[in-house]
Amino acid sequence: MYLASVALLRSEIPTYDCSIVTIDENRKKKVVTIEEIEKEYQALFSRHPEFSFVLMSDSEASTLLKKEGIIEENGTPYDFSNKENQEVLATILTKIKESKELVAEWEFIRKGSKKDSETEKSMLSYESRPLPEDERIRRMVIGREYLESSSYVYKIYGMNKFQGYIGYIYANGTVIFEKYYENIVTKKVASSSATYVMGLDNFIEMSKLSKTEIIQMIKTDSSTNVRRIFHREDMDRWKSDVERAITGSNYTQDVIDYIDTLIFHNSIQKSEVKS
Amino acid sequence: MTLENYLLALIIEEKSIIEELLHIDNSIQKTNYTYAKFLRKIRELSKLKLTLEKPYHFITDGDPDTVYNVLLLSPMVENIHINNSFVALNKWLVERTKEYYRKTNQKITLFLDIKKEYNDYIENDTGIVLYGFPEFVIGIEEIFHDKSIAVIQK
Repeated sequence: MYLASVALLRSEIPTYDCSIVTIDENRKKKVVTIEEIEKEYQALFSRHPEFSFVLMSDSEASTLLKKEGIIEENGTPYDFSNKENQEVLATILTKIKESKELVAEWEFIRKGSKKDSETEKSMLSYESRPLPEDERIRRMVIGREYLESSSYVYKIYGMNKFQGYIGYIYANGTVIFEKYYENIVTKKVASSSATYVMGLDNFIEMSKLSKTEIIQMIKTDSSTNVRRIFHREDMDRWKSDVERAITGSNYTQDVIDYIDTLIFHNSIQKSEVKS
Repeated sequence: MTLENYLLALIIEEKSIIEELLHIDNSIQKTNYTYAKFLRKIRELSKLKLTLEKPYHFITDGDPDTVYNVLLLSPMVENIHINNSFVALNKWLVERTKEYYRKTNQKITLFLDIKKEYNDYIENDTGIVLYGFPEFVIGIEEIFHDKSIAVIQK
């Protein structure tokens, strides 16, 4: 009917612009021309030969909707909060489910059922979007350049199950390594975004473990002293964290005491001025 | 006066102290985080819209703007783990928040955890919120994979 209206409009004003502004999947404005809609309309029928086109007047459409039980006799849509009408809804749903057309694509779950709460929970839990490959490569290049120019003593390349990992050993016994490639042969960049920092003794022990086992060990053993430094958009912060790990720079008790003095001394001074 | 206005007023009033604290943080962390950057970050942040019914343990990336944002949820914040980051400035933020509650005669239990480890939280089954930059929360969530925790990405 829309296309018919456009045709009528264009018979009066041939240059009439019937374009529609819409939002595409990348949330950018997109102008859709009537020609594109018409093309898609035709394509829709090719994809779904089971669809049929029926031209009917408003009164004919109303009669059909009443017959199918979609609107009430007076023409208003059903109020399904009414118990009687819920039975009508149940009948409509049964018809839909029996038709097997929608059922192939949609799962019908009754409100309050166990499956309802399970589905809702899984729909709410977030899934992180993988980073685009060019961003992963950007981070990898910055990370590699930084570690290559650092003052390491030995560089180690992982083999067998550690293929794709590169590690750097520093004079103070700190070991830093991370996975650069998923596949060393094809040079597919790893999706991993963590740099592992540990002592040499930890490294010897942990090099025998898988990533899952390493995580399990970090989780259950507080004495492992293994840290992960995560890549981030601001790779300068990653560099700072890695440099801190290499140099072993830390907040000593003396530093903490000095910080406390600065904060509390100022607080006391403020109170004295106000009193 | 709200906590937010109280903290903002003190951030301006105690600029020189904050700069000194940041100098300590920067020299230990090898960072270059400035007072101006801190101000810009807290102006730009989108406030957390959480309705909490009880105090929670927040495990954060430790960035000062993250900690500031979490503190605005107090008194429903029992604990903030800061990943051993910006200890000086984060201590200042927490102490000034406690000061606000003292002055307004409100009780608050607020603890700043400066440790690197997360072991204390692993035994907790509930009441943990992970909050920080995306890679941080995804990575830390792996440690808590079998626990019921809330995860918020910056």
